[in-house]
Amino acid sequence: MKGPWEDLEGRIMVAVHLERGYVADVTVASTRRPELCRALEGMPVKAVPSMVALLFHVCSAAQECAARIACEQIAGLPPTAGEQSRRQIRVVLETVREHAWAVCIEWPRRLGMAPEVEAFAGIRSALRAIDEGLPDWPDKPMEEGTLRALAQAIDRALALEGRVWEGPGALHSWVTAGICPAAHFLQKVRDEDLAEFGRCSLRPVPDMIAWDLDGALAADVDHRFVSRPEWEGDACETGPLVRMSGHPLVAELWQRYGNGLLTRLAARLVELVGLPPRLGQLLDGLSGNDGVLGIGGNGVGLGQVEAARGRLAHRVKVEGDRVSRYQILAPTEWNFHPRGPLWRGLVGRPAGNADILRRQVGFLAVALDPCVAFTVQVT
Amino acid sequence: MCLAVPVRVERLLDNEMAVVEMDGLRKEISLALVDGVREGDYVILHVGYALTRLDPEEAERTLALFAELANRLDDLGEVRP
Repeated sequence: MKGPWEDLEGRIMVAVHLERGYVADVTVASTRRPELCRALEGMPVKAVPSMVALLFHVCSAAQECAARIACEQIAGLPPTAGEQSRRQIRVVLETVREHAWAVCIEWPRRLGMAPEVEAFAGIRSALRAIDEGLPDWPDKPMEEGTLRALAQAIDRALALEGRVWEGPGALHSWVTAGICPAAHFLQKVRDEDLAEFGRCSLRPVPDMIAWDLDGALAADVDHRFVSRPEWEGDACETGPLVRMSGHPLVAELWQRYGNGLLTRLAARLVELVGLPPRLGQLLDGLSGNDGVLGIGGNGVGLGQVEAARGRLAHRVKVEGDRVSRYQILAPTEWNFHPRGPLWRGLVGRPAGNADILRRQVGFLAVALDPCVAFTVQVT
Repeated sequence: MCLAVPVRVERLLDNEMAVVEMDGLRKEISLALVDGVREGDYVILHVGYALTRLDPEEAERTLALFAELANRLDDLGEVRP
């Protein structure tokens, strides 16, 4: 369906240009409209967070959380510790849902396999049970078993049967068994020798660069920064690969294959499997809110959240009690920068068959996980 | 879909499929992930799947909000789709 609302949402278009059997150039174009959030300008600031929650679907918890943090900086009234934790938990639940969508629905579709709808529905139902318990939490502890049900649903979707990926050998055994689509995807990567596909050097979005980021957003009068963000002149990346780079399996794969396709896919899987224990820590009050950050003053507020696809920032400027400027910087803009992972990872590669390359570039784009539809063209 | 734009279920098909309508455009989608959808209901879509069912009143409110935001973009001088 290509209509006005799809135009509003936008899409990513990747064009790979070949010359003499090599990738000569990669164009990453986007029709996304980061300036759409200007529609919030003129509204009472207190109405913004709930409005934001209504507007977004894919990452509504993270968007609402970033909006709330930004708007709270204006009033200088931080939320209670319980409320902060609830928000963080909702963002983690959403991250589980988005990763589960990738491995159960998106990855099999890329392989031409039937999506694992039941497996996804099982995870979603376990997520819903936790979410429904949140309004009364922590006064009423989460029902015993809700978290275990989520871990079991993820275990079933990935056909882990209690396995832990301790290192590349354990991952290899799971891939070879190939019982679920995620394992099939990694099998494909192995069989087509794509472990290093897209390997490049790329710095991560620096950790919580709040004041610098605030300055860059303040100076962004033409929406260029929110459309093509760079840091110190460099494209950067954000998301599960960056967050999981310290995990022993991901670190070992990175050493062997760099940030190629295998490491990227494994990072998402490792994060997905590790999120129920992370939720357990948050629910037990054993973990701080290390995924969110807000700064503000003089009628300006900035909120940052680690969303499923990476760093998300909202900045609000207020005059009186109304929004005079609203900006959103989303992870898709970092990860699909024209000189980002796709350009850096593909230019100069031997091309081979154009149809096969188009499919493989699609794999890489799926691993980078844009929040909107994308197309790949090879010419 | 990244934005939570409700679409109206125009016709139910076999195999948990349906035809949805939005702005005069029609498309077949899957209802495998939501229960109890009836013709006339609104759903939120994500790449061909209905993920959330909305009652018509709630959907109309959300659609009105999107329309209002599009008008605001006009007022701000941004090009609307």
